[in-house]
Amino acid sequence: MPLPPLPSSAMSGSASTSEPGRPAPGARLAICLAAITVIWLVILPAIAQVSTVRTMIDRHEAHGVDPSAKFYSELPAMPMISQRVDEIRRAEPEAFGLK
Amino acid sequence: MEENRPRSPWRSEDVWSIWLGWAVLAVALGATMVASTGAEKAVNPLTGMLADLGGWVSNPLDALRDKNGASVLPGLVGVFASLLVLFSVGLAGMRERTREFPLAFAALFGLTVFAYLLAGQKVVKHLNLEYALWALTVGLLISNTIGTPAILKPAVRAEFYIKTGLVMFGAEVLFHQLLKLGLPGVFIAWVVTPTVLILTYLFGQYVLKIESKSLNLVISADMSVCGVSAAIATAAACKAKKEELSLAIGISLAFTVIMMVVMPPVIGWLELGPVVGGAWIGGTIDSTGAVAAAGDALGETGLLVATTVKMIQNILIGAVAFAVAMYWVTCVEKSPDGARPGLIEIWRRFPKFVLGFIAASIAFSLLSKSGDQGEAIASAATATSKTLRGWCFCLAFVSIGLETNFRELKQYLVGGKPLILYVCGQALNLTLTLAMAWLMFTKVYPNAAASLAK
Repeated sequence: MPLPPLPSSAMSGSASTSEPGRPAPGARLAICLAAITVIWLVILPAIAQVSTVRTMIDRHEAHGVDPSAKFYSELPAMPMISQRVDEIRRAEPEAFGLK
Repeated sequence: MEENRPRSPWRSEDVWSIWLGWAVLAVALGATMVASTGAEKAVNPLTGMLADLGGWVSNPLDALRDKNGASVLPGLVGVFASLLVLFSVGLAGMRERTREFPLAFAALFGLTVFAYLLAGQKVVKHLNLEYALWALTVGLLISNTIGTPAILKPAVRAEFYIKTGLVMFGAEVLFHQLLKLGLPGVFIAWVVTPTVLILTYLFGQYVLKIESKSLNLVISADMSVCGVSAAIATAAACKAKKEELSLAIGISLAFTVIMMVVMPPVIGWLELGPVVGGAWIGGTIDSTGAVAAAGDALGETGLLVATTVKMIQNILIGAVAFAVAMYWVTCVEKSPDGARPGLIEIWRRFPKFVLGFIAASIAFSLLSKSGDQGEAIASAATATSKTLRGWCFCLAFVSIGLETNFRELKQYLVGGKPLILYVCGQALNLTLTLAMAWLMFTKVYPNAAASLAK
């Protein structure tokens, strides 16, 4: 994935210099970090206590469902599901178009 | 001058990513085979040496403990040391400077841990807002505020991390799982999916006239195959720009969250049942984790069918990566005179790491297919590569963020074409997958649906 030629300032983040009317680069980063801190340490923990969200998380964990899995091999429930599907298919292979 | 000489193919990033990926797989497999000799079940002695961060709700320090309450710190040190050694050897093999690499890598690894920490918050995790998004965000925040510090730059090697991670990833792409759900699964996942991919790409080229073929291809693949993993593999195979990969992943994650929430009630309203509904979810929602969450909302059968269809679709990733790489070097990258390249030129241009990925996939598929013992050993061995490739991808996304400027991303959004491409492609995907799932499970193989629903 080669990048097209860019000015060196772009490669290292062109926003690294102060612009009139905008906070200094360091201040901008500090504001972003403060926002992350508030969201992750205050807002999201509060959302996690909402009963519907709590129920959803508990249900996923009880069923071995990891919604952040990117591939089937990352799903905790997959070995169990795979075994169950094998049993069903082997019991009636013709139903699945297999001999 | 040394710099002007063409680099030997043996010193290329592609070849070294294969050596590194295979080395990890070989060590994991060897250790598992030795430790499992005479044991009742397969044991991978390296598993405890590597770790991911755990989940947390309100105290981020909870992420430093796994489900059993054990500290993950030794595992994190293991991951850091393994990857530092691995990539230092790779850089040395490519005859590149390695002196500044350890310090830069340590700093980059720290940012990667931070991204994993953000992704591990349980609300975030259970909404399928996975680490790729937060790794990109962390990198973007730094590069677009204070700029990427010079100390980090020697370790900002997104392509190297992605290619090495993909070679390891090959071990998890097991071709023999194709017939898991018999012919209905093949028709839903292996007939509809490539059809949607090709039609969406053609729609982007000839109707929307998207200038960048690689952006078109990456969005088409991540929408039709399996989200982030497919986007990573396709982007690397067609040499897409980093901003294109970031954009494709951003769009995919946004729509995945919406579809994960909306599809189960729609399936209930349409009274499709857990088998057809599960197959519809498995064939259309991009991310595997979101498929499981949406399938679970339909009940046990829904979870079973949705995740199995998705698993069969996941396997397509190997075939898609190979086909995209071939298409790219033979049809897109033409010679200056417009002629199609010859075989030698195709070989020269072909992204070799794709062959390493396919070879790992074939080797582990054969091992897994060889019997229960082989399957258990393959599964235990890939626990090591699974952890390391996850960290490789996360390092890559932080690196991409560090190299990306918001202004560069903005140019791709002009006219909203990528968004239109995704929405139209997904609409086609939803229509064709539902039609095929209904046809397979109610008309052609109704007994399969009855067996699954028991």
